[in-house]
Amino acid sequence: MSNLVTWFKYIRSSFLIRMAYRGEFLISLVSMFALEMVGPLFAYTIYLNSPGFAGWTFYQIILLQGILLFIKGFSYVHFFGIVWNSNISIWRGTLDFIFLKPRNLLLTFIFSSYDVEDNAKMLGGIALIGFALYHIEFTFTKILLMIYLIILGIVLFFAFALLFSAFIIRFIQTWRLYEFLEIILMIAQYPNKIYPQYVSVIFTSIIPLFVAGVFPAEALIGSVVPNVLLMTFSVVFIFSISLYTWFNVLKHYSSAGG
Amino acid sequence: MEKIIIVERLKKEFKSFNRSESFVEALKSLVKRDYKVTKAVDDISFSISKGEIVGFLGPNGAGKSTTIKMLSGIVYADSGNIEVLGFNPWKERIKYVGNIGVIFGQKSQLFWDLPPIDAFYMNKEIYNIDKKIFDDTLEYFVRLLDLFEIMKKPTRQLSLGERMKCEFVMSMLHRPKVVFLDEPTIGLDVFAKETIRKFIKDMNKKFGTTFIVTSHDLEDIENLCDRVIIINHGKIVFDDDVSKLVVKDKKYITVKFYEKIDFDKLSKVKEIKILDRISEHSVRLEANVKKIYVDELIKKIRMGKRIEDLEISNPPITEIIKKLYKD
Ligand SMILES: Nc1ncnc2c1ncn2[C@@H]1O[C@H](COP(=O)(O)OP(=O)(O)OP(=O)(O)O)[C@@H](O)[C@H]1O
Ligand SMILES: [Mg+2]
Repeated sequence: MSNLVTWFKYIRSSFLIRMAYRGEFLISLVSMFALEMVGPLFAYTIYLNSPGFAGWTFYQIILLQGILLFIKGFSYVHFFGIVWNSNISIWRGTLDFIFLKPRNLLLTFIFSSYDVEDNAKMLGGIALIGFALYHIEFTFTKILLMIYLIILGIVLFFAFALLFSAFIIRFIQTWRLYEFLEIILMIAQYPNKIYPQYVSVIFTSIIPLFVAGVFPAEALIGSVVPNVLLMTFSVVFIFSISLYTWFNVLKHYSSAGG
Repeated sequence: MEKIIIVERLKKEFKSFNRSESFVEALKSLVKRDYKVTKAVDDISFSISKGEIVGFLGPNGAGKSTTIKMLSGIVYADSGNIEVLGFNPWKERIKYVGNIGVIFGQKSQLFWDLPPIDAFYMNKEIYNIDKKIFDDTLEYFVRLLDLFEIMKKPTRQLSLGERMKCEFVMSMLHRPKVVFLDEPTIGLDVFAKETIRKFIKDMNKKFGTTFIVTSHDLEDIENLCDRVIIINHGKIVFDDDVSKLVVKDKKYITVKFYEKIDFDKLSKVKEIKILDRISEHSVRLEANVKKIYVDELIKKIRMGKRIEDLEISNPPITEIIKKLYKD
């Protein structure tokens, strides 16, 4: 409960920090929103010529784009900031301070990494999903499955964020991992059918990247999503390992000289 | 007195990995990485009682900050034991850190773009500080440090001295029983240093707060601390009262005569060493007073001449410390 209050305080201060540079903040919010909405339209024209999307309608593609955007936006806003924050605070030597708060290390770190700006992405995603759902027929079970898969996708992203953060704290500062994330998103946005067999198997069951994009959309549309149980197991497994790795790395944190 | 900090045989090594020069070396290093070991803290033990202000001295790289980081639960020790207020800083970190305050003079806990007051309120939530206690404490600090205007300005606009005062508030709002200060006066002018020292003393008197302070400014140590621990190359080389940091057998003497000095004759006095011929009339000497009373020594130096001015002093603390650092 008190963690929740703390979380709100952090969100509030993130907003306040951005409002300190009001003009820049508004411009970046608006431009990000605009940019993210143009993306799906471009994607649509590309998709029309892609064999993987044979039979997909305009609204279904918008749905897929909305899901991708939402998962990315949600992750950026709520926890992917830890990757950025790992770089910054290792560089400034301020990572020390999270140890001094009488709170869970990870929660403190996540709260203090809240990213206001990417709310534009998240809202964009919600808008696209809403727009698409208005035009697509679906059943209650289908939407439940979609939501479940989206949650799995977010958990998987959380696991990636933890691994990236751990890597940065343990080994080396790098901004490159963001590009890695973009690649993951790129893979996740095409139906698994278009990939060679072994790639498809890896990314559906072992590291189920597709839950962060195409699977939730397919679930709603009514295509068969393979191995939901196995995927759940994999995501939970990857997540547990990431969590363990992160705390283990912080246990061996050596700070910097000073 | 009740011991509230107990440190036993604490050790910490750092491995720094050598960067590979060539691609082949880089590949090799994937299997076996070359590294150098630094013994940052090498088997130190000490204990501190409630209400003490203990100074931590030592040259650059001696291991002061590393010790502070282990005491405050940031860095794990390789071996040895720490108990502060009955807690093990690593095993019971969350419960423990609610009772301590830490300041690193070179880093800020405030939010760069927000006024300090926002950060203070954030800590109120994080530490679950009761509203009444928070308001009282804040008001007290604001008056003591004259922060009423300052704490409302964005942190980035504050001077170093103003910011440091706010750092103190930030790390003491929850009324910690033990406070670790790593170079709290670094870069401050004499006035700001005084304010900070006075604040530390006030907290110590009023709340019985225990402090460990590292500093390269000996005035900090002389002003604040009764006891000083000196570490060098990760080992404790001195742990005693500040007053014990004097060499009893040695005096510095500056003397000025009405007449010219006969330096030949003076240099034959066996208890003294001429440090500086200031002028024909005055000289600065180092004297060994182990086997002679000071008045007798002066008589020997005077050689029947009239003295215009005389100054006798103990070797400055810096000198003793330099000697300890060198060994
Ligand atoms: N994170 C680290 N990785 C590798 N070596 C480190 C690290 N932190 C400290 N060291 C090394 O450990 C030794 C002790 O460092 P420490 O920062 O404790 O010294 P210090 O007494 O605080 O010095 P200063 O007065 O310069 O602040 C130094 O040789 C330093 O290079
Ligand atoms: Mg230091």
